[in-house]
Amino acid sequence: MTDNNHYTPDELVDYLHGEVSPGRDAAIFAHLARCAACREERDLELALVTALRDEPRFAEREMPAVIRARVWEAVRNERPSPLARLAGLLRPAFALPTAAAIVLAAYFGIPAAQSSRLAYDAAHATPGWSAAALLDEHAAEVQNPLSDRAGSFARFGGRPAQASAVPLVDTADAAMLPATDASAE
Amino acid sequence: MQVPSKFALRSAITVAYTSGLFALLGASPAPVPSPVPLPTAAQRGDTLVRAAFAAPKRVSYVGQLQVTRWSGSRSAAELTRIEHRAPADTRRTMLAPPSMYGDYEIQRGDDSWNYDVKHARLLRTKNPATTNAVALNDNIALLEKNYRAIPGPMETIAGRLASTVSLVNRYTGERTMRVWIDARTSLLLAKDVYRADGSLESRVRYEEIRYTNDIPMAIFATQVPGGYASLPGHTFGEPSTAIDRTLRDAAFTPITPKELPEGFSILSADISETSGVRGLHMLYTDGIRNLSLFENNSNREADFGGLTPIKTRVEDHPAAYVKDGPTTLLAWREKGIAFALVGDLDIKEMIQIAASVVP
Repeated sequence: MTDNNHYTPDELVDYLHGEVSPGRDAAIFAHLARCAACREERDLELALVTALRDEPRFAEREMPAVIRARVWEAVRNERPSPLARLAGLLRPAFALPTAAAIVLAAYFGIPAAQSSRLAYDAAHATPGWSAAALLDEHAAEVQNPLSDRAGSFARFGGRPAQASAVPLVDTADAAMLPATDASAE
Repeated sequence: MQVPSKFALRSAITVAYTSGLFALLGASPAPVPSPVPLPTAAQRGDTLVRAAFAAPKRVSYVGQLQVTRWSGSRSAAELTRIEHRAPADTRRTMLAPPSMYGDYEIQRGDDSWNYDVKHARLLRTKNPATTNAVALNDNIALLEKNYRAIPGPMETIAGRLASTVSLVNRYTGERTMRVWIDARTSLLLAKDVYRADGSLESRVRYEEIRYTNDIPMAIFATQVPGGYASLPGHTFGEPSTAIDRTLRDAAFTPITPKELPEGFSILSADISETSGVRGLHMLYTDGIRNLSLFENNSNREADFGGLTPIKTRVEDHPAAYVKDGPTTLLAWREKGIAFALVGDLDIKEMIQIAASVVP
């Protein structure tokens, strides 16, 4: 450790490669949780390692459909903040039809508003049996250590209120999703 | 009556076989060369595999696990740091891919806490299947019944000397899996999974591992970090090996497949709620490969979300399937019952099984 209470790059490299004792490993791990400077140094080293590891894989990659779907499901399920929703309502594409609807509703009376509510409910009726949830249920019960699914890292899936035992290897490709795609749909 | 041990039987068979061979060749039965020594119990493949199942309950370690899967011309990989404190505390921290770097999961018994670092949120889930010892023992018994465990040469994995064992399906004669088991601790250090055509489907191995009993408990702390949102978790159904009772509790007459691949048996059943639909889930296995049959009487169509399902037919009924890594999901409806088969089998096999599920 340096005089100003930071780990040296060499120490962090050893840590990343598992070359330190368990006690020291835990100490560095705890230090990283609260030291931004050391985290930055660690991330720099890790970025290099990851880039070297990823290089052969980037030659040919295609996002599996199942991953695309789950990413989109997560995007759709993400609830925007009240401020973002308010801003969305002020966009001309929404504001003008909304103003027109208010005028028409005032003109034709409440029944029209009620029917549009029914139409909304019909369009958002509970969907069918979720394929992704069934895949998760299957994976959760397969506890054979030799199974392909065993020990797979559970992660947040498309359903924020539900666990998703999605095998990490597939979600690896989610990293290839351009961030702008989410806002484009 | 005293029953001869397996060892005695195998010795007797070997001697009889050797004698018979000499008789066939017209050679004098004496002197009979001593039979090839049979492997000791400790060297036998099935003993090694059984020990590998039990090892995580008594061995603590810190390691880095790499998983690679191949599909057609594509491959994908992940890297996870694993801290395991026997018998049941495990922390898995993602190192790669970069999109998931730092996310971690703490598993303690059948509870798990998933920390989504980027979105500062925490999800707790409960999966009773994790600690279902009866189901696990049944699974081991099936594995031994359906697969021959053939020991191979010693090799080195992550700097550790490992015994190799090939698991060969007794019905098809195909090698389904090859595992590397630490010679000293019996921990599973690596496994290769093969497709029916012999090509490699996935490879899991520790890049590095060290055994230690000094992992601080703080590593497995499960408190909610400051600023994290704690989301309501999901409790998975509790699989029961009391199959008959579970089937009786279903709100409709359960339909089971009349045809299953050789060696498959039902392992457990549970009644669970998936997407707001209460239904029956039956898990079948041959010890390595697994197959789930979900059914409910809602007649609701499967919701593939944003997936692009491929249309097919189960006899006269429209059906659709998707592939998720090594797993295929096939969904169809018949006579008001919605069915879904999920498993690590070829779609042709799945359709054949589906056709035998007749309401």
